[in-house]
Amino acid sequence: MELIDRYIYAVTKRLPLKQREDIEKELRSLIDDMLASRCAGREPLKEDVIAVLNELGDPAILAAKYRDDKCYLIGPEYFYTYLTVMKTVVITLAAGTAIGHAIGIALEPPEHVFAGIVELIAAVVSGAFQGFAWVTIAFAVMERVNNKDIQNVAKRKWSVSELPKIPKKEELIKPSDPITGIVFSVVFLVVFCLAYRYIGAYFSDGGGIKVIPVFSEQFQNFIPLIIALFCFSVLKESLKLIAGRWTINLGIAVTAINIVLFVISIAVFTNPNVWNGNFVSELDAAGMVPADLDISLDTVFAGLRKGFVALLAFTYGIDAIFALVKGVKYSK
Amino acid sequence: MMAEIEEIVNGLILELRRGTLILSVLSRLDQPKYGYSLVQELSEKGIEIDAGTLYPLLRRLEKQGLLESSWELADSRPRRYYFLSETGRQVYDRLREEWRKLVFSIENLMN
Repeated sequence: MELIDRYIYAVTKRLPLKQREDIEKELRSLIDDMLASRCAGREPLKEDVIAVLNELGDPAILAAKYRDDKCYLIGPEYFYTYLTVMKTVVITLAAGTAIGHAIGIALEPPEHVFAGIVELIAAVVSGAFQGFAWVTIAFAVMERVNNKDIQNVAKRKWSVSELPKIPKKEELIKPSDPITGIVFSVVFLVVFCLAYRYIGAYFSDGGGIKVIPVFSEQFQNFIPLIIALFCFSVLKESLKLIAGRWTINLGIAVTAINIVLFVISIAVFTNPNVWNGNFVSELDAAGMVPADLDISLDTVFAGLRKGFVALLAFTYGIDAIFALVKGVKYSK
Repeated sequence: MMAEIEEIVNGLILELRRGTLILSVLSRLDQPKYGYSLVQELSEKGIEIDAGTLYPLLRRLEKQGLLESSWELADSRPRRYYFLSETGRQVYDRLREEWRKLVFSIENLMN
């Protein structure tokens, strides 16, 4: 009865693992009953099996009837926002990776230009896939977390007072704002992941352009944290896109995410291993420090590093306060 | 045009019947029965339901707590027998009442 096994397999492979065994047993007993009723005592022939399976119909349809949970990763609620965020992230990530690599190639021409180009294409493709994967994961999680809310809402009684106000123009968040935010996050990601070696002081020693990097080679150990920063930033902008207008909840969410972003930024950029400890002496060696300078460049460099962290804190703080104030203002 | 009317009518009949399936099933399960015997019993009484619809429906009703089930060996074959739970009995009583009211009201409308 190979046909029966194949039929049952075709149904159960479309079902959740934990239901398979049980439904298989049930289907087998059903098919036996149908055969017995059709053959009334005689041995069932292949034609009988075919007739019975035809009666049960397309395994895909039968499996669909057995499945009552949703079988999608990202539902209609978020699908269009997902598409917007996904396109933005993938396109800017691909473009950013391409530009980052092109700059790398221009500054340090590889031995074989062709190999360099192949590497560039590979990096662009892998960058685009990474972006796609992370955005999809984020939205799939959001879908599952929020789905419970939707179910709870469906159970309780709805009242007219819940109807949202029609938002005034200034309450709305223009989709272009969060999209710009996402583009910046991608640029940030690409610059810090691919091109951190090229952030620094440039000089020409006659033989070509040289760079003294501000960041140390150990910076690459911090790339997972940079990716975390990127993911949280995109999450924040996506929430703005989904909400579409300023609310208290959005303000709180933006503040919470900014706190996380700030903590991660502190962890990365106040770590002395991140910065190139020899920056000043290398500058000196390159003859870029005027001899008559009477302040310590080390102090200046340390001050710049502190300033960078302060700038980040300021940006996150302003963003959070802005979101909170607008949220409170327009929720009334 | 005739064919079109036929198609529309068939679709609507299907929709009408779909609403009555649960009532039909609940009405037969005060005694434990296995799926296929229920298909045959309902068919004898003029309610056609294919096994591919009934089996998933039985599982769903069990998940909702209206039915209970147990695997039993009958004629040397294992079969899952379904029967009304206490909740299912109460739900069925209420549904039956509603159905009678509905039939009465609809009859009233159509006369």
